[in-house]
Amino acid sequence: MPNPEAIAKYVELAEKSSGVIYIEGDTIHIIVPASKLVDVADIVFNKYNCSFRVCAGIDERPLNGHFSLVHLFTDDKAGYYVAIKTYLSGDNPVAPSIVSAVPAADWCEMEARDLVGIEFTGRETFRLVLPPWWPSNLHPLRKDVPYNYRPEPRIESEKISYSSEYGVIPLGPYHPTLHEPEYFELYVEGERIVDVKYRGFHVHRGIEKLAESRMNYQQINFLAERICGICGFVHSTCYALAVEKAAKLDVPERAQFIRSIVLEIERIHSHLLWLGVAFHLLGYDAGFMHVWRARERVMWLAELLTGSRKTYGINLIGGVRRDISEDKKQKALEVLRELNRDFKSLIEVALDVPQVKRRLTGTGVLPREYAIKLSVEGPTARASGVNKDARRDLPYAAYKYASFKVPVYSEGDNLARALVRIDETFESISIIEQLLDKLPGGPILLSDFEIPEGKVGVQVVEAPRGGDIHYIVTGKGAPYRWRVRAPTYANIPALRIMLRDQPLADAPITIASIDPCFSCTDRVIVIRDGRVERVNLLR
Amino acid sequence: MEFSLNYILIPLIAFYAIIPLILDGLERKLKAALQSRIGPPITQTVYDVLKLLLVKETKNQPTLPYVTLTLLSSMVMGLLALYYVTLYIVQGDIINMFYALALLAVFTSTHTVTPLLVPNPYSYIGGMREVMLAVVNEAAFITSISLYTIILQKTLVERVTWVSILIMLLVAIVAFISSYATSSRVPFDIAEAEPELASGVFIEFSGRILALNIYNLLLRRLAAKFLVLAPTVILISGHGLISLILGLLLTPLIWALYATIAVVLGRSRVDIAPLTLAKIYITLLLISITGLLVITHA
Repeated sequence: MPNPEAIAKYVELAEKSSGVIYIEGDTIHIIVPASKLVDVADIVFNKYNCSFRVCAGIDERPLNGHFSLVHLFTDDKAGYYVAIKTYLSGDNPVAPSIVSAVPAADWCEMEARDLVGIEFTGRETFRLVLPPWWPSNLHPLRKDVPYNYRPEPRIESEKISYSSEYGVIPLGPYHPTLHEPEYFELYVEGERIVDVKYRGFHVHRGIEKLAESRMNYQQINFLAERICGICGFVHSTCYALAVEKAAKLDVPERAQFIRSIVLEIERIHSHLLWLGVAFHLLGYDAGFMHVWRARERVMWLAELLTGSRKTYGINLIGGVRRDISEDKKQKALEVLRELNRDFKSLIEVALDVPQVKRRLTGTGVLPREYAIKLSVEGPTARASGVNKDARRDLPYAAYKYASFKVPVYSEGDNLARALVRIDETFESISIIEQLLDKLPGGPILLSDFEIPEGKVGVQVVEAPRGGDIHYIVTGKGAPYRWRVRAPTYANIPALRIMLRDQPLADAPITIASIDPCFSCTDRVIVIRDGRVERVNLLR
Repeated sequence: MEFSLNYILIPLIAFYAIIPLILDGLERKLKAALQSRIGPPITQTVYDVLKLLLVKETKNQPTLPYVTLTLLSSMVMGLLALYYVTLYIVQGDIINMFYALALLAVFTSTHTVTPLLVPNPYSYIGGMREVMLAVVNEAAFITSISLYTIILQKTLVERVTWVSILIMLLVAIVAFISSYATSSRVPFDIAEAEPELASGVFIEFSGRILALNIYNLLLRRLAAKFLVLAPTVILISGHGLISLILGLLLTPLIWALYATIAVVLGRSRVDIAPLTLAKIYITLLLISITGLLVITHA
């Protein structure tokens, strides 16, 4: 439903900033001169209270001789995507940084600097995604860099920053707590954490470049699903919805229902997986085992409806490729009833364990103002009192047909984040039941459609970890630009706030409380002659 | 005719040496059952230790000879402690119980310091956590067992009163709690704390040293249980071989009880566990000692 009041304020903003505005569906596009970018971003973020989602640098030189930079916000109250775009010089792309007004833009600006070569003024710059040895003038997402070009790698060691004042505890990149490689440097005084340094992105998989260069629209669905082993369907749905939005495709309703059902199955699976890991980190292995036993039912359910326990592979542009029969529907409803009963009883017991309750309560606190400032996502935001959920605020697929509550807690601690996930698990069971009951008839896939060039699609899908965002500029047979931002990207910077002044023992559960999903490769730490070194794995 | 332990000394020590491995296998099986898992066979810990004994250490630490020596001497003291407690159960000389307590205290201390001999931050932190816990727990363990034994000896020769039974019950509770804490099970496994310390005290150990370390931990669990059980079985059936058999039969049950407690709890923290234990111990022991003084001078 169009919201004239909301639109009017963006029109006024565009006019005041000498910009151009156009609206396509639920997306408000504002093109502003670089000199006005900070002011506009400041108003949108701090005055209109929009959520900052991500920014994307685009090499548009083959199209118009310029680079461009798009900052993506969402007006969650009005239900609009707000894309603020600025064109930059094709020879020397320099943009003003919006970090002073929008701290959440820190990483994406540096990523645009690394991968597209856009320089930023008014901020400290550093290398974020590319390894230190990577040539400084080589920006892989520029269109003149072939996808298969690889500079000669070098092995480089990097010493951990020693502190004479505090002890340094390396956490990662291979550590029992961290189920994926990542690296945290904890500065401790006794057993209390004083500060934290995070290093990540050491091996970038380059899927955006791969998709833009080597794949077609339909193939990318399957690549997108492989971005994450836990919320892969979120990525493929988000990608498909973004392309469908850009191409203005009218996807069959039954397909949208199936997408929502599978998305909620994925959420239940993810939350149960997380709860199990959390209980393990708290030393409560009985909880871990029993939650994972319950999770087994969810994987069985996923296999029943999609043919796979995980990485379902049913999404296509225009719909889905696997239907739900009446027989499967009845079986699914039965499994959901059992799951609801089982989960309820075991979670009641688990939350009564004194150590679990005590170690979750009051630890890893993220105050609301930081959650807003850093635009954190999902349960991390909702546990800190930020009431946002893309399923309700920016409805997609079939969520408008389901009634559900968005759990919000104000404490911002590890317990609040756990409770959000527990409540969401029950809500997800209810959503699936409702959607299965209301499943409409009809086809599940568009048979004939075209995707025009030069169109923009932006989509947020509420993943188990928070809002996942895909931004598409359509090209010929494949996206011209595909920007992906997983929710963990927005949540990691908040860990510094959450970990400070915490006991060392609570560092693992606090890190885990954002349900992090990191890159699948990283550096290793070696201890050589009693000295700690980091070494890049370059193979 | 008085039974002489000399006849069964060697088989008894061998039994004490092997039984912790079997009991740990039993614990793993029990935990698995409580967690809806199949779990490994009961003999799995024996296989694990045997395999580790055949594997060379992956890293040659300069302090390795000291660690080995410390662990070996700990092991000997642990077995000796079990021997002396057996003498106490069968023959009734209270001095044997105090020998056993002293040996167990030294055993625990030497085993506790081994991680501090290894240059690794996780090992240091784990070691220091173990020391902090031991500072609170070992004192309570020794005090409570000593009091338990002394009150027991008094009740064996004097008239039993409700007050003395109550005091004995209080010190027995402290003894059982402290023997549980000594066993480094959840919630007191803060020195190992796999999630935050990557196995803490064990992180730098491998091969034979790891086998010895694991074995010493299991032996400590057995010795701590047996020391608490000793006065209890004597209370039931007096000194003699019957009490020893009863003690040996009760050991797996207590072991299983401790394993069950470990399953239903989560891990504590270094700033919570010692403080909580200290509060419990001080309260119960103060009541017990005051009561004991009252009945002694009444």
